[in-house]
Amino acid sequence: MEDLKTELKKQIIEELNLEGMQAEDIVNEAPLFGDGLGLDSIDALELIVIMEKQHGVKLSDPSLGKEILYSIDTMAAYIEKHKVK
Amino acid sequence: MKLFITGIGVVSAIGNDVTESLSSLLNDKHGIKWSEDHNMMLGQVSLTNDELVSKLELTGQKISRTVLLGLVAAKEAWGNNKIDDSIKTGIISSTSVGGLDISEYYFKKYKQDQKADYSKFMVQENGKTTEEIAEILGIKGYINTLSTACSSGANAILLGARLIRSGRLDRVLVGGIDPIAEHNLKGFSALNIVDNELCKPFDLNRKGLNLGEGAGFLLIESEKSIERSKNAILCELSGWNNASDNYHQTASSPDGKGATLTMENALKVSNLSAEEISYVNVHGTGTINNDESEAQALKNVFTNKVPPFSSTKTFTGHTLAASGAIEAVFSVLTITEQFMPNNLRFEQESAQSGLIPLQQMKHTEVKHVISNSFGFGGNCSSLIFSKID
Amino acid sequence: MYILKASTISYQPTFGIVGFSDHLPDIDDASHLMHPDYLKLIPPMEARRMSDVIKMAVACSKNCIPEDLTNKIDAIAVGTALGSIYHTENFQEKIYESKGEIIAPTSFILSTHNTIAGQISLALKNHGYNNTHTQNSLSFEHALIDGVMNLEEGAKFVLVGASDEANSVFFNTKERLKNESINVTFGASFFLLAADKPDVDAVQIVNTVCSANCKDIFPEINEFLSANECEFKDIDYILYSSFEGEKVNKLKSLFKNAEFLHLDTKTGTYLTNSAFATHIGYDMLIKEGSTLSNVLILNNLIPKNLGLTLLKKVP
Repeated sequence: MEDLKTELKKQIIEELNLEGMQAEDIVNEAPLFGDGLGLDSIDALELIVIMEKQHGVKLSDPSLGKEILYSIDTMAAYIEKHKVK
Repeated sequence: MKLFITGIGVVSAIGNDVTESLSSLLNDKHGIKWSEDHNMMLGQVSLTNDELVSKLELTGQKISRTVLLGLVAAKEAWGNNKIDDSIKTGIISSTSVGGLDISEYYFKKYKQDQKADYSKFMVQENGKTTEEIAEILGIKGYINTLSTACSSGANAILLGARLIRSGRLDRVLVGGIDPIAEHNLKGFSALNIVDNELCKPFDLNRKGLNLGEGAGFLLIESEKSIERSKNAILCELSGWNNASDNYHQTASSPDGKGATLTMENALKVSNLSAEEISYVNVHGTGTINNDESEAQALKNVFTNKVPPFSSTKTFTGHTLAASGAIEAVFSVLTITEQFMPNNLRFEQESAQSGLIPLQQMKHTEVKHVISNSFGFGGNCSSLIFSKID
Repeated sequence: MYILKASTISYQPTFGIVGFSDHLPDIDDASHLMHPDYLKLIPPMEARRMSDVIKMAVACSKNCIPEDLTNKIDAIAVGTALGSIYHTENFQEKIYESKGEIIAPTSFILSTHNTIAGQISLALKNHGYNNTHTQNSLSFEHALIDGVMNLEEGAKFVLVGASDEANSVFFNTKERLKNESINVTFGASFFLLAADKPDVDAVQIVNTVCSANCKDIFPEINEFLSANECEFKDIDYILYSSFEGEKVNKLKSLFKNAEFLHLDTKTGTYLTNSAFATHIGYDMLIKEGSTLSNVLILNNLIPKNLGLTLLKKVP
């Protein structure tokens, strides 16, 4: 799971243009949106694309987006649970 | 100085001219259909590019659909008017696609065989499409193009009005055009705000918008111009405004600030009070966010006396830059024909706003009409049209 | 109507430098965009998504509006010939590569022409009038007319400018202008305009007009001058963009007292370089020890499109 989390963080930094940030700078349990990393609703759509394109996991119910995309931990857990083994 | 609308022209999924469009509006006949090619609901104009070229009697290489659709509507609005050196005439068009419909076609070819034919890419400039339309109509001098996404057409109209009021022009042909372009189809889909079924603006269960294409043009004249042109007056353009929502690049604010400001300011320009508005042609795209924001704005401006309103995007789909102009033409028709179009497919009001749009077309007195258009970047515009005595 | 302040990002050392017009070397192959540290002006979380055309515009806008006027801007009018072309092309690439699968929307959101004006509005927390003009080489002049009209209608302060970014697959300036020998550059120039004259020496925008599909520029120039109570001999300096030798010779014979500067040598050539020219004109008039009174910006970059802006120093 740790590798997945690091991989996720690198993908997020790349796709969301978080220039100058390193994977170590993103805290696993910290909120990604609002007060945490400060991502917004446009970023949320990018995260959904990352999950689908890079990890093959579709967000089945958009209304659960807030919960699933809350932090690196919650995203990684969702991916682990739903990826095709 | 009073300003008048003396010409209108329109082409969209519900008709290739004003007469056909009016008939569709009077008979609840929408033009949104499932497109197999694009795998989504679309409000397409029934004519292909070749058919448009034939109808317009044009020759030459691949012409942007933006120019073709624009010419159909602009020619209808311009009618039999002639260029007259004593009347300062201008044209303002607006578009988000411009020549991108052609560029994206050649871009694919370029990706496949790595050769770029720049002369084809060149048509991408929005401004060039307007120059081509102006050339064919014989208009020179003030030729301009605006591009403010979904409020473009409305902004072209209000800029035209202000140019006449300032004395720089006596009359101006104003409008908006957007053809179907993959850029927009894929873009709106990626934003997840497209409904795969027919859209339901203001409904509790609305899921998003349907995209459309088309063009709308209007001729605005001052009294001085009308004395020379002797054109019949359709109605007065009595108010206008543009304001910024300043909330987000694409989403509208929950309190509808930009929309509220622009309607209130347009009323001030027209010297009308909110109570005098007969009908509102809402922006009403059918997205959860847009409709809620606009509903709140309507309540802010009209408090508990929101006038009858409907979204004609339920007929044409969201025609993007053209919408402000197409819907302005429809608004003019509500005055000349004294009717209010239906807000199709409404079943249940939203829990938050509780606002209920018109649920059927009705023939009734229409004196003053507000037409709203809100675009990306929080760009909010409102126009007011009034019946003349 | 008066220019209170101006700001330009370009291939020259212009940003934040008053009097830069004294030190403009010729553009050559080594020239490149000289931009400020954007992160000092734009929060990183916002800047990260912005392409050049947006970053330059937001940086210039912030730079030309003093702190105490930030929430007093009544209107914003932007001119751009190509709009957000980097993001447009980027999204096109994504469409091509996706082959029907899910696509990230960020580039699409930022691809509309009015993203520039929209991002400026967000940066200034502005609720006023906002418009984007896109009429190739006349985009800036149209934005300027719009800004001036807002002042005529009662606005106190307006922000007007133009921004365009580099060539891409979709656009080639040399091809567009059918001229292989031009110095292709890009940039942004923004102006804070006011209805009331400030208490110091000021530069007045006497008038701006533009004329498209124009067959003969000379009657238009005549009409412009007489409408503004100006004669050929009153013009001290002309900043022009035409590459047509005969036309330029005729201009030189008419404006006998004027010094001429061909924009391609100093601003380089891009469709909205008349905005940079307007800043140069403003700078020349306002700098200490300036003996100039009337500067004319003559935009004839595209032969059938004419833009004229007359600037005048008012003590």
